[in-house]
Amino acid sequence: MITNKDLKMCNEQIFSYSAAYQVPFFGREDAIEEMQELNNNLKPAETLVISQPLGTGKTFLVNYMISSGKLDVPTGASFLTVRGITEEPESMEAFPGDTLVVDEADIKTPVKKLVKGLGMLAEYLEESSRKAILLGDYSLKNQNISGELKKTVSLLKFGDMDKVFLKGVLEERFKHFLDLKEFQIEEVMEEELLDYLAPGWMKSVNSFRGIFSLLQQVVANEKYVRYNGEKAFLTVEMVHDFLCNDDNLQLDTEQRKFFELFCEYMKEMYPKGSGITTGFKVEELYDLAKNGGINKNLQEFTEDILYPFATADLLVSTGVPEYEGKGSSFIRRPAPYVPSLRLLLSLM
Amino acid sequence: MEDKIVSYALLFSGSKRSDVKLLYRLIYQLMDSISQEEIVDMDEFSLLVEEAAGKRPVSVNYAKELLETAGCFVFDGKTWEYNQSLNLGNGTVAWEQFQELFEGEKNVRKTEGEMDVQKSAIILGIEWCVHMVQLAKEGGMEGLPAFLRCGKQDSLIGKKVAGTATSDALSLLCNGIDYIKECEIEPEVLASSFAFLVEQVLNCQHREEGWDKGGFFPLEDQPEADHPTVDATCLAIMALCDFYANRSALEEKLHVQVETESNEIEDAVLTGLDFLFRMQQPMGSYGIYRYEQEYPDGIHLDRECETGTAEPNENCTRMVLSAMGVSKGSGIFDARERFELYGTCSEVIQKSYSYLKNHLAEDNEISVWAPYFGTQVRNYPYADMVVSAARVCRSMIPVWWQCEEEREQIKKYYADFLAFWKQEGRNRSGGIGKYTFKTPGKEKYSVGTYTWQSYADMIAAFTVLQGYNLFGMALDKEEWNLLEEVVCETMELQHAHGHWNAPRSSNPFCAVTLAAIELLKEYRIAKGLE
Repeated sequence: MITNKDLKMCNEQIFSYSAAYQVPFFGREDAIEEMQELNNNLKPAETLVISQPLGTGKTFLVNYMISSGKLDVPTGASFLTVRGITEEPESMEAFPGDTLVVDEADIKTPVKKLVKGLGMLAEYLEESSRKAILLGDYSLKNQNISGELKKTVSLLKFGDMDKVFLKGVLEERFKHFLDLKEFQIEEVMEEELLDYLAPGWMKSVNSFRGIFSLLQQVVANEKYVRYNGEKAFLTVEMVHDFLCNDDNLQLDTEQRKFFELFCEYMKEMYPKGSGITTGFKVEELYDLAKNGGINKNLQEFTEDILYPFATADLLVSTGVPEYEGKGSSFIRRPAPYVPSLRLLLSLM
Repeated sequence: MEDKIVSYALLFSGSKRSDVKLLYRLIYQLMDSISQEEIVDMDEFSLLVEEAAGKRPVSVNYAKELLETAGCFVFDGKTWEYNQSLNLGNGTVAWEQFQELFEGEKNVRKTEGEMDVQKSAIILGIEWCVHMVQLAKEGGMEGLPAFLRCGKQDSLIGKKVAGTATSDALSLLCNGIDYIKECEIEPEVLASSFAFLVEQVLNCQHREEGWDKGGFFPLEDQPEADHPTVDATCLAIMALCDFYANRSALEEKLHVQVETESNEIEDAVLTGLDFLFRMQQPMGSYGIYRYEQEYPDGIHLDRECETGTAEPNENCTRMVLSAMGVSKGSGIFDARERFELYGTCSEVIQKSYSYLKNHLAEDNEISVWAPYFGTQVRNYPYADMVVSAARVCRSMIPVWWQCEEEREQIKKYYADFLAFWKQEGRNRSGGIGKYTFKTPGKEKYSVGTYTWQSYADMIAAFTVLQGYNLFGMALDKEEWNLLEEVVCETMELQHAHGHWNAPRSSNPFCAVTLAAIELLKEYRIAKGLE
């Protein structure tokens, strides 16, 4: 039996979403196979691109492939970053082996450095005839950002975050950190909670970071999981209660109004999120806001409510970050939007 | 203090707590960026807002208004700049004065009876360590885990034990006896902590007959290691020797009595040394481990062997040097009348030192040690070089005592290291050095690697101070300033709970806590306070 104490002691490890702990690798067989093939066939100056949302396990996958000898990249070398390339261009030359690995080509990098860094990478690859593996988010799908990289191949079979995958990952982690030979996730987690954490309509944008940071916070909270010898069991109600009592939200008046409108709308039209397909456009959400009495123009609504909601992980952007070129704004989290796990679980 | 409070009141004039908190974070982020000479345009600013706002949905416009109302920073249409006309009621506030407003606890520490600040920090660190040991003991663990959690009350992460964390904790306590006297710890608690750590370190040893006999496992520090490793064995031997050598002092000064029999510790150290003797590579170096198959005739490396081969690395080689020296000085050889071991250890020291002497990297007439005995300094990040070279230098103590004829050379190594460390233009401040290694799996070395991270300056400063304390290494004003700066930075890194964290992490870490305390102790010796 896994107790609350066991769970609390291993909380950060089991629900780790960074490189801080050595977590067991699970799944992604198709991605591994495709990556090996693409990498083996990479031509000089070509780049293998992995463009997936933040926190979905790109860096973890590449690290695993290198450490298990599935990618011909010397072990132990720290990955380059796009920002780092702009600050220390000589780091590209110093990177060992034939193939550079460049990470963080994403919205966490200032757009000027993103564009400049990718340009510098492209130039260096042409000059040196070396190759690269480039990890980033959907920013890489914007030609105004990544256009300098002319010779690219993309990983297509990265794999989505579905319930089966999430279960497998969790089971491996529980077995590893708690030294268990046999384990089923249903022993510590309500089936319905798993349904909420990995809904089908969210599988292409759902992230380990989103799921595990939430579970870590719930488990760390004494109100929900006490440090005792009782059987550990996480439920939807627990997570719902945690989110409803989360002091960090702190919405202003108009934001609170829209939040309530949106929640009502979701409950009515998409209970538990079922039926959501492509996500909501700005205009749809604006109509909802206007009809609900929110008195802002479209730009104000977008800047004061929508974008902050996306940044605060109430909405998840499924669009490609927008950038028209030098001098224009970088819209990191554009529409369409789907509700985040955080919002969905607070709705029930 | 009064002036400061008034300044804060004028700056943070919001009515909502959440806005004041947000403003504080924005100011801090912006100040940090500008002081590092970064250009903060609106795109960069939006990232700062994200960071400062956390889970609160804050629009960039709102954050901009908040900052502009505070008046300390202005946006000129392109970038954010400090408002040189800022007036907080007492004339304009210069940029340096503004930064000082946010230095907070740093200033409090600095003025808190200057010299004794380091002593207080050491005591706090030791108290924290004992507290963690007690938690592990009460939690039924067989040692300390690799990771610890800092919260309202610090706690352990995970249920698996890390061999080196346990050894580090024992070393930390053994070397802090004079400070432990001033800790507010009951003798029974101390005794149980020492007993627990000694027992658990001993439990990490491989006892079965065979090639691995005597070696110590790293356990969770290297989860894939199926064999004892050189580094874990060295740390365990040094910790056990530290305990053995200080046992009487523990009893006399602290009334700490540990039941573990001396001969049990002696056995462990002696068999541990046997393991290290077997692990030495023919030319005198050490890798993380040595499979029997690597050198089938004991002399020639079979590069094609199925286990893979361990590259000689400077970290393991220097650790063995230190372990040999500490073992010789522990009194164990005399107690067991194993006098021949003095000679054996001396031979290992001689051979390892010989290897080190012949495998340096050159950089503008400076000779230092590079990771894995590389020959080109420019192939490595500066911080990695500093950590490698500093660690090897500090392990020269046994050579200093054994080979008097090498003393001038050793002084030169220290001088070269100092010259390398303090080179202008190097990105010195806050550097984190990495040591990367493979681990011995059941059948062969791992393909993947492990990385230990360290604060390069902390390790470097210790080495330089050690040179000063050992042989009066000459230090000019600039070099003393550098050392003072690093000691100050080290103090600032200490958490209020007493621990130091792993680099780039909010997790307490025994190895870093030990390194920090070692540095502070060495500093106090240099200042004549110990």
